[in-house]
Amino acid sequence: MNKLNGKVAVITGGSSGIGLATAKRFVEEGAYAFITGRRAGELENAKRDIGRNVTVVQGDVANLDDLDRLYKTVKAERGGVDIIVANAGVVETVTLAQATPEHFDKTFGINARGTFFTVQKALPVLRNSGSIVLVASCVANMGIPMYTTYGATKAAMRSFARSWAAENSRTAACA
Amino acid sequence: MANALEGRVVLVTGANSGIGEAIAKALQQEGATVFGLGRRPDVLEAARARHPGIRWLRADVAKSKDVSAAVESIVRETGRLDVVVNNAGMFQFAPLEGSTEEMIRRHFEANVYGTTFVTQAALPALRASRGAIINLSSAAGHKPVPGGSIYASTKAAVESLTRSWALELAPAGIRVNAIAPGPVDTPGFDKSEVPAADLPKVKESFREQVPLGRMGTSEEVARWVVALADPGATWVTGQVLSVDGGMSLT
Repeated sequence: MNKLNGKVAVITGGSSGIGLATAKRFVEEGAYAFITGRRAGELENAKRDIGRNVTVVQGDVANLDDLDRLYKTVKAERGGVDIIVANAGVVETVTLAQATPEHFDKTFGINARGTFFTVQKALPVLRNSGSIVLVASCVANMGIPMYTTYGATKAAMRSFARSWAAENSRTAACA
Repeated sequence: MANALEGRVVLVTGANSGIGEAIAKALQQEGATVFGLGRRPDVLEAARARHPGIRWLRADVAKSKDVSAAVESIVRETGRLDVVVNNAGMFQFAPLEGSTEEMIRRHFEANVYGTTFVTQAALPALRASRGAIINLSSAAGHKPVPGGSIYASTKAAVESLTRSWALELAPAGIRVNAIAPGPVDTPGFDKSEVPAADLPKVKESFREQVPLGRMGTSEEVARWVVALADPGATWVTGQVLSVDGGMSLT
């Protein structure tokens, strides 16, 4: 269990669910993890749960200042990063008829724009042979009632992964 | 993941050279009992000498009787079969005008019939073990190949078989996935009917087509077969995983 010895990872949305499970496994495999989340209380619980080799940075991926602060912390504490897991995301189930501009902007702001800038702002501190993992969803390739906005953001993420991999290096989207 | 396959019995077709050999070796390193299938006796014997820890069986995957006999002998000996890796196949680049009836038949027999016959023969044992099937496709399975249309179409068929079987066998708990490698530097590649003088040029053009800037190695493909064979990969089925240095993106 030491595949990631010495690696530094950033996991957004790391205080619960898939993000937390990823952070735990990464630390078990020898990595140091930075996890982000919007809720300070949940982050502290996650930190206790993970137990060691973890720094929590409260923040919202939709907020560019929060992202700048995240990578400033990473650089100051560890000098750089090897793995980015862009996992933070939201889902609100509404039909096309019911969807408000606020719902649309929030979903795209966190899932699509948030992912975009999570990765763009990581580039200056991303070490050679680093890897980028986007957590998308099977909904990226499906049509499901009430998941119209969410599915579109996940399809955008799938497309990001393809373009970024062609542009520079290892990017994977898990659907 | 060390010893993830301890106590499991695995069959790898076309295991006596290239990617198949690397897959058989990698599965053995994870603790599996590996049976390697090969068609040509001389190549099979050479492989046996290199890997005495692998059990070698002779069979032509395109002959359903050969295949049934081989699978029966595995189950008779070990009482089980957990993973089938359908790696045996052929490729020969030829423009449409140069594709003879015999060459077209041989492609479909080795790549499509062979994959199907082996899976059919293994099915009773896989149902009992709730096992896994891993098919070898190719970047050509989802990317057009001028001058290689017959080969590409057989691999498109393999991807389609993978998806249909995944749904058909999901109720039995059997996972079916495929790996789609990009250009891999193997002995088979060097014998792919490309004139020897042109090989360096062909390899250079592949390097240019791969975003990561080089052809792959057999070992780089094998590790993902191991990952899909891992009984811990319990929630993945019907997927075609590209292991191609990014080639299929462009």
